Amino acid sequence: MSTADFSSVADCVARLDAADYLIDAEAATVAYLATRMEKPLLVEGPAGVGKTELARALSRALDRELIRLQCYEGLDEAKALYEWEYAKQLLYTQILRDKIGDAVGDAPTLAEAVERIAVQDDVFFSDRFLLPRPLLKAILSERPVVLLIDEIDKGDAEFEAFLLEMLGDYQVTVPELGTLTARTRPVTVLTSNAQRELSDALRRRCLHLHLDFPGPERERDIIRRRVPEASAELARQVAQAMAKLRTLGLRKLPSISESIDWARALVLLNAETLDPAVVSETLSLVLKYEGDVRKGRESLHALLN
Amino acid sequence: MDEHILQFVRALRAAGVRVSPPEAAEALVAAGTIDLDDRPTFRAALRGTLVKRDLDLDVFEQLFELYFSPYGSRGIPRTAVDPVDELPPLPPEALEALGNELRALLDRLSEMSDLELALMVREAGREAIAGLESLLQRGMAGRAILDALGAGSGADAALDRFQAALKAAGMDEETARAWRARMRQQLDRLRTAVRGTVDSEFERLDAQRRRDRLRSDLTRAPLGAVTPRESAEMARLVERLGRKLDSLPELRRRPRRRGALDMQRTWRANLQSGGVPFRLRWKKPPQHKPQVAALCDISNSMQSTVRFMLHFLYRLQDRFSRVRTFVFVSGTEEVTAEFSEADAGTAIDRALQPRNIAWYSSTNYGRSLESFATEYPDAVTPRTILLVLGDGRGNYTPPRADVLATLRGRARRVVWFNPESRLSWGLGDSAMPAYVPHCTQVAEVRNVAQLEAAIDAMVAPPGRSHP
Repeated sequence: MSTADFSSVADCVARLDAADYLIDAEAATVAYLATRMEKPLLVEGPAGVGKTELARALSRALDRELIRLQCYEGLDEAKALYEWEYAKQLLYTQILRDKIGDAVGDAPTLAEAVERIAVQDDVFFSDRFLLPRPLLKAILSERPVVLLIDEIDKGDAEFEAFLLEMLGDYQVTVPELGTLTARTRPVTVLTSNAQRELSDALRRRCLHLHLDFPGPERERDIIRRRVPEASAELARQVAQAMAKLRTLGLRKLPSISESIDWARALVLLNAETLDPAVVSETLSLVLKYEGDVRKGRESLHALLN
Repeated sequence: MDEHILQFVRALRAAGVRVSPPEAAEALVAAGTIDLDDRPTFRAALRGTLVKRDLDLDVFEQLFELYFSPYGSRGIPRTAVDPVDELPPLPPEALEALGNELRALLDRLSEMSDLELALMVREAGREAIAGLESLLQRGMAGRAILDALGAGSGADAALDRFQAALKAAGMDEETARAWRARMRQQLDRLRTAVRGTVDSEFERLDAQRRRDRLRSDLTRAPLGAVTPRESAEMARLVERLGRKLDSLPELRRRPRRRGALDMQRTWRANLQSGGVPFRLRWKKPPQHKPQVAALCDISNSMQSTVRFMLHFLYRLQDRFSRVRTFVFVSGTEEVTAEFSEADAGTAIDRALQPRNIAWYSSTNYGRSLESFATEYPDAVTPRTILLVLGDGRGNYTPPRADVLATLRGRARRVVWFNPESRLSWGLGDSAMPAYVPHCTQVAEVRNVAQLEAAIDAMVAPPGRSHP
């Protein structure tokens, strides 16, 4: 696999395909533009349409390391950006106490001693004690990486504001060290389930991609790709049934990964085709709420036609 | 092309989509990066750079059709252009015979691409197209556009005169006919474009009208009508309420002075002093999230607004982890579980048919409040906001305002949303005047706008919202 950037939209589609991610041309266009224009890519859409998987596939296709930051309520810069290794700093302070004595011991005046310590001042706030968290790791990486900021909508509004500097200029500010600029610009992917409305400032800095559930044909192809053991007919039927399930007004729409799980389970059960009995038995793999399963069972026949 | 994209950006802004200058610049860069001939790619590039919220996608799609597809969804009809034979130059008399307007038009046409042609037609036909109402008017609109462009009914006669003038100037029959044919070809190209534009615009307008009709039918639908748009709107409102509640002054607390010492932060703050802790750092106290207990009157008198109220509660419960929802008529029943399982429409239907209370019986606020207070004593704690949605009409039964007063003492706040106009509170069997003194806030809430205002008032500093 080549490590070069995508050369065209077609190249992007082909290489994502090789990385086992089937993407439609429009989504590929936006992904391609994001890599070319070095802009972060904000991916929105319902849960389970493959937003996170897109970032993983990009990292495979571009042969870049994937650095993932999972957002959650209360996530702050100490967990996202950097942390000092306190214990190590403490240890060094203890060990070096004698050394400091040596260094300043022969200083004739107090001012001179202070001066000598000042020269060593930077020792304790250096890279040595810096514990890089995902964002800093992405910034400091020598090799280009793919940075995934997952479920940004689960983070706090403050954290979102904190990210702006990173997303706009690919740089972060560590108060003790100054501003660090990315050595290589990471391909940045942000995902959101629209649990919380994101700020305009964040949206402005990103290219936007809305991913939706794929049509039955593409879903069939995805299933065939991920579950090669499934027959073409089974994959087609599963994709069709899923498309119909998603129209039933369920509480939680079944995702693509659930289609894949379902197909896998059906293969394990040696099912060649979908029939009412098999579906009824395995529906709970796809639908995660009792009420949804009931609804699914009620429209069993519609699902299979 | 750049100019055209910028025009499109202006149109987006006019339609209410927020597009910042850097985003417009990015759209230009993106357009320069991809293959412009591939329409889906081009559209995806513009969408990815210009439209950042899903709500705006509709507007984008419509405007894109308008700006970047010469003939709407029908595709571009290509007119076969004959390889240009070398024809002898035209004598000036012949050009005069065409008339200035037509001559200028034909001149421009010969240099126009199909896209430019389509844009010209669209521009010229803006009024005629907007007035299109029935299939029968298409011919008329087409003629109006041709007239406006200077290629109206007289054009064919002008071509005849042109041919005659050529012959008069001594040109042989065949060359004159070839010249006429070439002029005619441009004219035909224009006519095809006009027809194509009118047809596709008519289709678009018609489809839009049908959609609009469907939508207005839906909003009038009496039952089960929770459209995705309503649902989204309600979610937005409740989200706003949530954010305001989160930042409510009384909910914010100063860090505890005494409590768990945060070793890491203390150490970090005191590194300068070599680890001697001059400045202490404390852990943040746990966040106390607001709890809400909502009581909704589902009796007949509430019929017109009860679905709206329940929808609000549904969203509320979705947003906050600790919301308990109750419905009452002459007794109270908890429907929290129903609300957390089904989608909005179903949940509302179920809430309207509670199991244990007779929803058809006549309303009794006093008994309902009492049963709420005694059967669900754990629902109201000092951190709870008690929200009552009801008209306060209890069929002259004892209002039992004292129960509400007790609840007020136990809850953080009591908020009452009443769908009736303030003027009618106290008239007939309305017991609102008895309840109002025991509420932190009362508001008239019948529709989204009032709900929004009530929410704003709800998070205003306590005390001021008291009537």
